[in-house]
Amino acid sequence: MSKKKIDTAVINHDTSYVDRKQWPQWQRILFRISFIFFILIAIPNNPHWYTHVWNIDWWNLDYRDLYDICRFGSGVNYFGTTTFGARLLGYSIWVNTLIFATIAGLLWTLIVKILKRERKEYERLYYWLNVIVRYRAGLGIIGFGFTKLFPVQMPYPSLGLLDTDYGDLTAQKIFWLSFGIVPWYQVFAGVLEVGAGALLFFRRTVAIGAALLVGALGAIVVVNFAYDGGVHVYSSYFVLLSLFLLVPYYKPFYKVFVKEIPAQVSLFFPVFATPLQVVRYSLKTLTIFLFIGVFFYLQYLDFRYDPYKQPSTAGYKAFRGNYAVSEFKLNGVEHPYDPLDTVRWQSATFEKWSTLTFKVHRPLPLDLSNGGGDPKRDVNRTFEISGVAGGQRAFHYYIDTVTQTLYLEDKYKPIPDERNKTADSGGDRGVRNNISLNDVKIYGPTISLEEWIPAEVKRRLGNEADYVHPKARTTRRLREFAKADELAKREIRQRFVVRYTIQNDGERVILRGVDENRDSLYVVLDRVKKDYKISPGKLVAGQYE
Amino acid sequence: MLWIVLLSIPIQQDFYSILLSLSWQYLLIDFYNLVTFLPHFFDKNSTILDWTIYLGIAVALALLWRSRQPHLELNKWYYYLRIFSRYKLASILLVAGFLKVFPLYVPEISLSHLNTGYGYFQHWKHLLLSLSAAPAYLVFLGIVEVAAAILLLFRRTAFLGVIFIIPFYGNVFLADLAYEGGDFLVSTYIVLLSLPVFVYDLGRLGRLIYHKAFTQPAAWHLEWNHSRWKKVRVVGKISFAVVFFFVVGFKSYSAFRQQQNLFYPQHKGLEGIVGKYWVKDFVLNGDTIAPSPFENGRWKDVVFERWNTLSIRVNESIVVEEPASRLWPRQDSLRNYEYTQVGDRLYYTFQFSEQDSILTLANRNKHYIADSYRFQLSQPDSNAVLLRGTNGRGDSLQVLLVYAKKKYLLEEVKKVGRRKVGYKL
Repeated sequence: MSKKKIDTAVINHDTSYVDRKQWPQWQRILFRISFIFFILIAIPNNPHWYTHVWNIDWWNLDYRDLYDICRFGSGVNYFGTTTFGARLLGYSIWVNTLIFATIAGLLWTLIVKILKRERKEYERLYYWLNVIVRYRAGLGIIGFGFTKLFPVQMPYPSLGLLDTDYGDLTAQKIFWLSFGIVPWYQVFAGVLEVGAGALLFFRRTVAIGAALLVGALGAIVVVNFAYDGGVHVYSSYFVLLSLFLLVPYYKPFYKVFVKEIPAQVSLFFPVFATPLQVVRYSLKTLTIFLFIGVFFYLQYLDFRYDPYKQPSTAGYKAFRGNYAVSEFKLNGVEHPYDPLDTVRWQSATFEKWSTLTFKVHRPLPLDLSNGGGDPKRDVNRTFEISGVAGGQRAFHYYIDTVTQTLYLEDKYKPIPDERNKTADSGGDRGVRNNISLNDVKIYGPTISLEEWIPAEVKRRLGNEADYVHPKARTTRRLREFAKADELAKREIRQRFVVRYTIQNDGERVILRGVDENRDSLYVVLDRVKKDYKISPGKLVAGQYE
Repeated sequence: MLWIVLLSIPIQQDFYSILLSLSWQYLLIDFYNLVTFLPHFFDKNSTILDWTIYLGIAVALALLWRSRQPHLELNKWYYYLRIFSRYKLASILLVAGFLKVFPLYVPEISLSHLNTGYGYFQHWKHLLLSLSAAPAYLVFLGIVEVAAAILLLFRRTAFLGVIFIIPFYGNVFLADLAYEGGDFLVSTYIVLLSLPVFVYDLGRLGRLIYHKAFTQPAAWHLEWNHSRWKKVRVVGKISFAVVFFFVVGFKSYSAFRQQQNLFYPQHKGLEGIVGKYWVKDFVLNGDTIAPSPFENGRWKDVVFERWNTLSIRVNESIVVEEPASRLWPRQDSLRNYEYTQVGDRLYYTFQFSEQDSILTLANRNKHYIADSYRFQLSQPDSNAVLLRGTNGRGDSLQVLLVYAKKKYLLEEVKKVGRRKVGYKL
């Protein structure tokens, strides 16, 4: 502890300066309730989290491994996600936990009364509770902050999104995109969040960090309500924890600045013996090394090679860009350009990653999720269609350059994956999987997985896990791809296959094949230059060259 | 040494006060606009150069002042400065805040903008549109501003007020830079205004929460009770409250209630013809032009706004007009929000004569001054609009428009919620 020269005031970081006087009865009861409540709300309540942490490969880490450590649901979920049947906007778990903590706290009071083991105060326990809450809040917000510090949480809009009308987006999408177009601003938000989190690791700066968190996360809570972002509960969580950490400061602040009478923050800090002190500093150093140093590096790798919301595989270079659909034949029948034709493709884009998008003039089932989460397979990274209407379809493609064939797979699937499993109630689990297979038969694929890509081509395509830069081939990625084939069998997706012909350096691309309904398809695409009024700056995520 | 250190305080504070009072003149004019409900607190001429000049003058004056009165009562002058800062800040925050509490600060999204590709808006427009998409957030921002302004009106709570305001407007400043708003000087000015109050108590705050030491409150106060300004103070405070709370608050509220907006023309559109229309037939000089994804002079779709604006989507790329001034305009002819900083569509102001059903269109973008139309308007049926006439070059033109029953996800999703699977649109 550095003891700076601050005139002659009492400043002593051992126990002596706090007058360890008797706490009144109400304060002791309140403390017991808060203690149980905040402990419960600071530890993960989901078995997935524990298995995840147990299974982490520490020698080939993925940014998401650490992210998942930092992000988890908590509280008493034994009674489900309602309080007497009410969801309370998702806050019912807090209320349930509070009810549980109140009962437990009162029992605790009763027991110490019966045993006549009543303590005068709980200064030491309060210190430890603060430590737990500080680290919980600090780590949690750092996990979030890094995805902004390296701007990947709100990606820059894809070509397909730039071509989507403003009215065809959800409010959530609009907010996320409006952040995505200004990556430096996102970096600033990330620096603020990581900075605030780091300040919580140090006793002296707790108040500053917590105050910053209340402000920043308070605004995020309102954003989530206003734009229907879906993570209002988890962002409120940080506000709640921060307000708790600020408890010792309210009264002194009020006294000095409002009442204008002298005051002091009364906080107890235990004095550790040397061995414990060594343990303390080692743990602290380890935490900072891992969750700031290592995390920074991992998030950099993610930003550089594998931005988690956009596909990581580079798109075929010869045809990237916006295309007009000059000719369109279905089963040999020509469909001339007509914006009201419900069959014809209206326009198309080949993204810089492995996605083909096209627009149709007819209603489509929509993915209204946030399009985030942790999928590693490109086909499951759906930011480019989530929250997007206007007939926009997106297909992931594998390209076989030997036979000049594209194997396309719809990014939309009627039964979405559950996302952020580790986070559980601390995350946005995406759209809940509550429709049955019978409901989705109408979307059933007419081209099965086996029929789609012949074995010989499959061999040529190689292992998709290796499509990214070696540094992004984390154990997490490899494990997910090891299971990918099994999971794919259970998915319901539209698929189709086309041969492509590239003319004139990709100015014209001709696609011939069968579409998802086994109708024969003939499409002539001509490159068009869109006169967009925004353009990506230098801070661009991903490696697509 | 101490002497110099002490004297350096008036130099700095002096610089602030002069800087503030000079800018204050501009803002006072603007303030009238605000109270008369056509608000604009931005002066397009204020540049970093102006600020540098003011800084120079301030330093010179401070030096002069110091040489004249070496034994200045610093505490008193600093106190005056803080009073000035607090009220100046509160006035800005109340006006800006009430315009957000009653969400007038940005308009609702126009039909034309809903039918514009995401990529065609410039950055600053994106920021404003995203605020339009969720007025609830704007209301929240307004409440924070008004609350901070109230805290600023009282000496004892002013510090808490600036603790809210500095991060708030610091963030606005960065957003101004990021979205190329050009008016980062306004947010800079607000942060600067809050500094005298903030810096005054900063040391005590650090002592209290960082060092956790025993902290004495600020000791120096002006004794109003013994001052002949006592009455002036009371009257001033009350009139400030009346003007900024009741007048500004009431004006904002009534404008909100009457669904006024500060950005779009106030002239009414066409009765029964509002919405998006597809272009069914397009006949130029007798030749029917087929739809095409390429540039061919044909229109793609047409939007009739609720006010007298018609916009046309075209394949051609559009030279965007940037607003020359960021002052919020009063007259329709100066209300340029809908057509500046955006491409994809051409925006026309129209006049309609009831007697002979003549619709005249004039492009509002300054890069397309010659672009105009004169049409005979008729409605073959309630869903169709037929325009027959000529364009500005004298070519004959006949366009048949058909109403598009367009549903917007932005609005629809609010009805169904996002947790629904299999929702089609």
